[in-house]
Amino acid sequence: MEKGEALRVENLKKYFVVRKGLGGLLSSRKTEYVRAVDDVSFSVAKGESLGFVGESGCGKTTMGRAILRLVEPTSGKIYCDGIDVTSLNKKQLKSQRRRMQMIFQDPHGSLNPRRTVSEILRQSITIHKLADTKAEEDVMIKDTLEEVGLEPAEEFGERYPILLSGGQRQRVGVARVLVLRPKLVVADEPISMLDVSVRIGVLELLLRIRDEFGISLVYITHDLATARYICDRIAIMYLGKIVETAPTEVIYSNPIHPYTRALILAVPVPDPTVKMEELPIKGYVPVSVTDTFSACRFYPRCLYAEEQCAKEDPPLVEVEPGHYVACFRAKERDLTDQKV
Amino acid sequence: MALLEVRNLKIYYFTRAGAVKAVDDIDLDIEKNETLGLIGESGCGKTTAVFAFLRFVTPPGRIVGGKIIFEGRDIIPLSDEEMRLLRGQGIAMVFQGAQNALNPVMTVGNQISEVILEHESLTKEEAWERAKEQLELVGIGSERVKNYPHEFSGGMKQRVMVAIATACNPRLLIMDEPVTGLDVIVQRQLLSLTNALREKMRLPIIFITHDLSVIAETCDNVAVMYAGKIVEQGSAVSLYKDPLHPYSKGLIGSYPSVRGEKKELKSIPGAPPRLIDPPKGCRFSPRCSYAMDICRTEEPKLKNMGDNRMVACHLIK
Repeated sequence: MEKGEALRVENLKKYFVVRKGLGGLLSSRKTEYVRAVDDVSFSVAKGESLGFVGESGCGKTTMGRAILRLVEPTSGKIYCDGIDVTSLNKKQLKSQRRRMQMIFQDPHGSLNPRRTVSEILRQSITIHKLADTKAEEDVMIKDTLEEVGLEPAEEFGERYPILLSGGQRQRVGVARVLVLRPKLVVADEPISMLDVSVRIGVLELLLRIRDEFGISLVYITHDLATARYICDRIAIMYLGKIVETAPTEVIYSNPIHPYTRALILAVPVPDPTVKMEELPIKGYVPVSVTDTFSACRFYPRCLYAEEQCAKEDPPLVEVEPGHYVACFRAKERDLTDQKV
Repeated sequence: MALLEVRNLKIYYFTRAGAVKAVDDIDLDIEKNETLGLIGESGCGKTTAVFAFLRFVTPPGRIVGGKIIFEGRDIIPLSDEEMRLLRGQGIAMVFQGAQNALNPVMTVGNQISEVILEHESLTKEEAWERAKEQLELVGIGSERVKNYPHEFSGGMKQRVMVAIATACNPRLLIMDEPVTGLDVIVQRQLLSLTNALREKMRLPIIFITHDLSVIAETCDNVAVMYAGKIVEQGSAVSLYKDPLHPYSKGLIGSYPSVRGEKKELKSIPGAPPRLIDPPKGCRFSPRCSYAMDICRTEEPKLKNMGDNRMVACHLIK
């Protein structure tokens, strides 16, 4: 593990067994797998935010959960803050969890409705035994609530989640994580259920705690437009694989993989003078990918596919410093000369 | 005369805690061949307002005042039977969340022909043929007419919804958050489809969404709703280029784009008010950084600024 790295993931795989039912069990058909995450490797530096962007079903959420071992990875290594997370036993994992936390998508469903805000935070503190006395806990709760902008802290601490707006609830979600002073936070679509006018506030909060406490962020989203504002680097996922990764502005100014290009062109632009263009993509995302695949996952939908694409799986190759693309035709001009 | 004229429409929900003024005195005109975008945050009353155009408001909600004039006829006093005939043929709607709006135990062909049989005197076979044509129209092969909703993806279910809504050639189509929850590529395919349909069928559409960029790609005109009121109206191009109301400005300023220079985003402080007890004066005043004394006491009226622009703000003279 290199210095300055908060998270390193090597060849992470998560396969789900396809349930066959009774008929399948009796027949001798071989077990099928859905490759939700298939051989993904990356690293995140201290204080860096890496965005995973993809459509539903691309495996981004499964990957985020696998990093924290909320689902058990099928294979691969995960190093968080120098510790091999995949080799920890249950007890060790629990103490390690303090350093790696998650912010969930649904701020309504992820808070216990029968606990007040301060009880929710207190629970995190007691589980990880961060304070010796109740007075100490109270100070931590108050400081954290102020840190996430829920002021006056005494008043918000007394409230139940139902009395909070969506934006405030998500701030509680951030506070619950922040009180543990984690090194790594996986944020899974933290603003997609919030109203447009309050989204930016929560994004700014995430950026602020990242900078203030040196937290590394894995930001999972389907929304390329907001990812631009929070991520230092972006990885585009398609059917369990990273197809392209680059510094954020490079992804938007010089996307190379045909899927990335289609994805960026598809994002609606808040400007009525911009006309919709034809998308350079065909067909639909396949309903499920089982293990019958040994080709570029994108080739059935790709307008540039060649013979090779149907036979081999393209590796992730560096095309310019920091910019990796998994496409056999990445270096050819006819893909890149059309401006997005 | 406009196709649909809404005058002083008020819809309240009568709850134990008091009357929630979900839609409070709004005026709206939709012309033939117009695409209107109704934009606002959750709870601003946009869905409640269009539900009233189909008389779908159910207790504890009630239309407490105003007129909804469709093709010269006020629909509020119509009988249930007259209303039933108007739905589907006069005004049709694509509901939010196609996943739940389709019947899971009926084939899509039956669901489409059901609407046709309800409104037109055709035989079952003729209606079935029409259902196939409708599927082709929305870009699904007619061979899938016997499929059940679970055999379709989210985007295709939404297409089926469009096929049902347009089956009886309605004269006005309402789409409530048609692309919310769909992936961007599927979303784009659906937006292209609605744009094509609208040109082919010369169909006026009301688009309800919280997504500014969806409106920018589809609508001629935009009405911005906040806390049960329309605060600004105008053509999409002029409103996006030069928003007048501080709320519209805030909304556009907080909206990110993937194209061009990365602009600085600003959030609007606070959260939308509870409509049981909305703020006095301008409902946006507690969140408005330009608010003056008059904004907290007197409610601003919608003023006509010429060139189709209307705005309700004391700052605008």
